[in-house]
Amino acid sequence: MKIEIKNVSKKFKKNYVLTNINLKLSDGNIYGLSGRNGSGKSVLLKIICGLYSPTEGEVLFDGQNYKKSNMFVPNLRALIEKPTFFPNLSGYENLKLLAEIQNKITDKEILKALEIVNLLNEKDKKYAEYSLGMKQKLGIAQVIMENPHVLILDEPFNGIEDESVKKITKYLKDKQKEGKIIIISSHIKEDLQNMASKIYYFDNGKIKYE
Amino acid sequence: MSKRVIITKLFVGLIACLLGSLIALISSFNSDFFGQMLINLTDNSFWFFYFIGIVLIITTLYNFFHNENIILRNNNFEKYINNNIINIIKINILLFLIVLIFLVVGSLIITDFNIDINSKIVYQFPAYLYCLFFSIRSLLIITMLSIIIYVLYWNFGKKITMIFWGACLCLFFISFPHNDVINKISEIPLLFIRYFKILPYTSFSLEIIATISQFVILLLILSIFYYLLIEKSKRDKIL
Repeated sequence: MKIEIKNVSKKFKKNYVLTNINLKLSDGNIYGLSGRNGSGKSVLLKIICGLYSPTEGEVLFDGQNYKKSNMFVPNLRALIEKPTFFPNLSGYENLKLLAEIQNKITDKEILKALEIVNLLNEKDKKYAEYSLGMKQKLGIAQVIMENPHVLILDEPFNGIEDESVKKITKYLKDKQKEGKIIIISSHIKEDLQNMASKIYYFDNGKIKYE
Repeated sequence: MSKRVIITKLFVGLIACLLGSLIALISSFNSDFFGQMLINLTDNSFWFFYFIGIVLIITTLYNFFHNENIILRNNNFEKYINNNIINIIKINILLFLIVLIFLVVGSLIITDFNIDINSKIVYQFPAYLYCLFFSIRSLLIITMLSIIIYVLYWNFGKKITMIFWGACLCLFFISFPHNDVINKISEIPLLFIRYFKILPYTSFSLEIIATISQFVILLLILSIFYYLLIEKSKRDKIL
């Protein structure tokens, strides 16, 4: 798959939060988006997912503009900002509920995703009782459990301990080798340097350098 | 929103619906089961509380499913919204059936079957027919309004939705008919009530015309908000 971000700009009211972004993303790469808070990384990720429409420009997946027909890209999963889950369901129940929408995976795959993010022991705990790091891990688990082709992770390592970060990083690198496209944003450049094939630094809604 | 809050709100919604039936039951007394049902189903307090209840349920479910993890797992946003609209219709039908069962049981309990046959109020066949017409119409109007409220919530958020809901309730409130003579053609709930109230209408055909115009207006409002939602999702953002 090839993702082409062509001349994308996004305006909220009168302010441009993204200006003329051009990127070409291809299989088997981990792309890092870095920059200060409010530099436009999350907005770009939401545009790629189809949750936002660009004010100008377009995002093409293998030449197809999904947003035009109001469709979502199949085989794309995302963790955007803080994950939204149902507080009084357990971590496992939350994932099960999401998995049932497309009904493509088994319980075994849900448990495997929980194991990768080191959350298997807390799978039956209610989401409301999760710490910030555990919530973040569950957000990553919901992205990886269906083995999507495009993985979008916005500040995925917030509050997660080093041991789990290493494990998740290893998993993402393995997925890169399998040919997946992984896009990760972080305001901490060092988080990305370990794994990204390319890092784009954002400043004021523009790519300052690669 | 926690599960407990969601369940509480759903429960409150159901209670509100049942409260309407209860008020309708205790505010009327009839010696005939069908007469009792006829009075209750044409009682505006019954529909007033049903409307409060259904909107509580719809907005609660809206909050539950307004979630990017769920939305992104659907192939098409338009289909996702359409499916939710179908679910709202199903919820309306299901809730109406629950309330209807409650009303039937309540009517059976309070109807005095031992009363002297001569002192019974006898309703004519057209009155029953009218009751059926009134019930279907009210259910359709409330279903359409609950869909409008759902779409409005997506478009403009909580504040505007509450104002719209409040306005609907006010229109409902001022249309409270006196239920003393059921064989008369009752006032039309919701829109246009005052307009038609000042006319000396007694004809069923006039009420049919009013009903059709209600549906056309509600359908127009619904189409506008639906179009706005779909266009907004294409041009600006979904969440």
